[in-house]
Amino acid sequence: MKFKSSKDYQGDEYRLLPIRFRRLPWERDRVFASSLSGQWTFLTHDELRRCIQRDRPPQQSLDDLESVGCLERSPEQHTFAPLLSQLRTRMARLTAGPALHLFVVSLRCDHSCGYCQVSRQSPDASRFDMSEETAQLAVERLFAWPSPTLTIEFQGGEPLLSFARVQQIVKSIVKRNGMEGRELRFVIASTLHHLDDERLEFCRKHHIQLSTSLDGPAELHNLNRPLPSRDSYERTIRAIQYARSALGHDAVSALTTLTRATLSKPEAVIDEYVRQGFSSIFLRPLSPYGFARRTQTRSAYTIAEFNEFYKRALKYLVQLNTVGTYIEETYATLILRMLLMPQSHGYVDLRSPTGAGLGTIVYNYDGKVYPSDEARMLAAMGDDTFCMGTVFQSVEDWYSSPAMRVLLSNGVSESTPGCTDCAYLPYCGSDPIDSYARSGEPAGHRPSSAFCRRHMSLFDLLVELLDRGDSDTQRVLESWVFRQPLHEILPHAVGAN
Amino acid sequence: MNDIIAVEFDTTIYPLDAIRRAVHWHIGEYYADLRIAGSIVTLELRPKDGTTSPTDFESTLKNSVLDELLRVQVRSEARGIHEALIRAALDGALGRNSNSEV
Repeated sequence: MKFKSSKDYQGDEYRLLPIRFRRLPWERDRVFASSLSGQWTFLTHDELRRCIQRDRPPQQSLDDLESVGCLERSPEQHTFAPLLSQLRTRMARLTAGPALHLFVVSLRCDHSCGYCQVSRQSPDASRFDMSEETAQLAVERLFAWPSPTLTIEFQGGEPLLSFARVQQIVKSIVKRNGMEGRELRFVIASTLHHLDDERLEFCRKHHIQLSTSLDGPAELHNLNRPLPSRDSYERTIRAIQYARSALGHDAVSALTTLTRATLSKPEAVIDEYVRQGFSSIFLRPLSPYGFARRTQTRSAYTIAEFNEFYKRALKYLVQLNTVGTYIEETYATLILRMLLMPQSHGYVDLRSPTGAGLGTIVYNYDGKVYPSDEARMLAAMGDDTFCMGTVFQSVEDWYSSPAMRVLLSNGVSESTPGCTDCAYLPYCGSDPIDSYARSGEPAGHRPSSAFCRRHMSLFDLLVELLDRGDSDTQRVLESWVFRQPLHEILPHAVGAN
Repeated sequence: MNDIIAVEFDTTIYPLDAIRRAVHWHIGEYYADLRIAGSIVTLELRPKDGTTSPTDFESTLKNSVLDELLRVQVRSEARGIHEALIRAALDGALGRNSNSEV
């Protein structure tokens, strides 16, 4: 990259670089200002105005804005290398192609969860299993991209009900990878209720991680995830312990799905995660898909209600950490990392261009291919708008599909009204499928969308804590970001070790 | 209660682009009507169902337009380098040499 000579800047004390800013909701005359790379600073609105309009700009404000890449004062000395490096990292994901590959090996499941996001089928409906031929073709397509890392996640239904197919796919990928040399990571998303010694041994041999659902204490879990035997919670806890004893404590993670019944009990859900020895919890709102839509009067809630729940949960999590119990909220940690560390993240839901299709591919049991699990859920509801094609077609065919054209033309925040000037854009993403599912429009009006209202609330909450949270709270958040032992940053934490 | 909010802007001070961008933020809750007469733009916002205008909404709207005015200025000054940086980063990601001048 070439630089213009300094004579081009005569008469100007500095040059503005792209600046995005947002008035702080808790102090309207101050702003959060971010640069292209996502570095940021606080300053007053008047200081920002004076810098932009060159109206007696304060020296300190110029220093602050320059230090985060919002302006440059010495073209001869200024280097764009760090900023370019961060932008390049983000764009390199486009050329690497999808790294997350979801295999829906079966729709069969023995649970009848009211919020289930897919069209689950009864346990004996084997016609909803992925065939051997479909699985083999999917494996071949998976290696069509150059991504150096590949995460292969098995989903359902209940993938353990079709374990022979899981085994076939894992063996086939491992064999092929002998020539490819990619870094592989396998995950099975499962209730774990159908684990046995043979299956666990296969998981151990191939370093397969297990991800299960734990919705809270027994009463809440059994309410959300009913089984005819009414013992879903007990079976889940037993299975977690069984899997940990074979694979190690960290090989099992858990996700919680939040229903209306959960909203008033964040402390109970978090306490259950602590009781079961988890050091993280991921608090996500219910998606408007599948059975969740059909039962929404029972299960659903507004984004405003979720945001209130989240604030209360985060406060409780911080409180637990300050008295010596390390447990982090996964999504907050992800966003805090983006705010406090320069490197780019790989989380597919918070990417622009969208991670759908560009970061994730879903191979459905019937051979159809989707850009995300949400697109598959829409298809299960009868709307195949986002089907990219089938495993019988080439990946080039998938990328020229009408589905991908819709995603590419609506999935870039930098060119989307409402997002393009948002100060949180460097840390946020684009989700045209969610927008389509909720409003019928893949772009829609972003500021009033559920995606935007959830994320604005979350960003504001975390930025406010960084701005004016008490020192214990800020140290807890840092411990999540830097994974530092609690006692190193919070010496007085009770029981910290 | 008449909840229609009407605000006038002088386009010699506030560019139309800044007014339009500011209005965009609020069209989830309001129906917007922009009328132009000479250099004066009249903006009328009518609440959609269930929307209650905050008492200081007119001030919020004016602040939004002022903010957009600053963004117009930043965009005007930084557009060239913005595009060059994005092009250079994309070239780098694709393994190409960049000849972009910023």
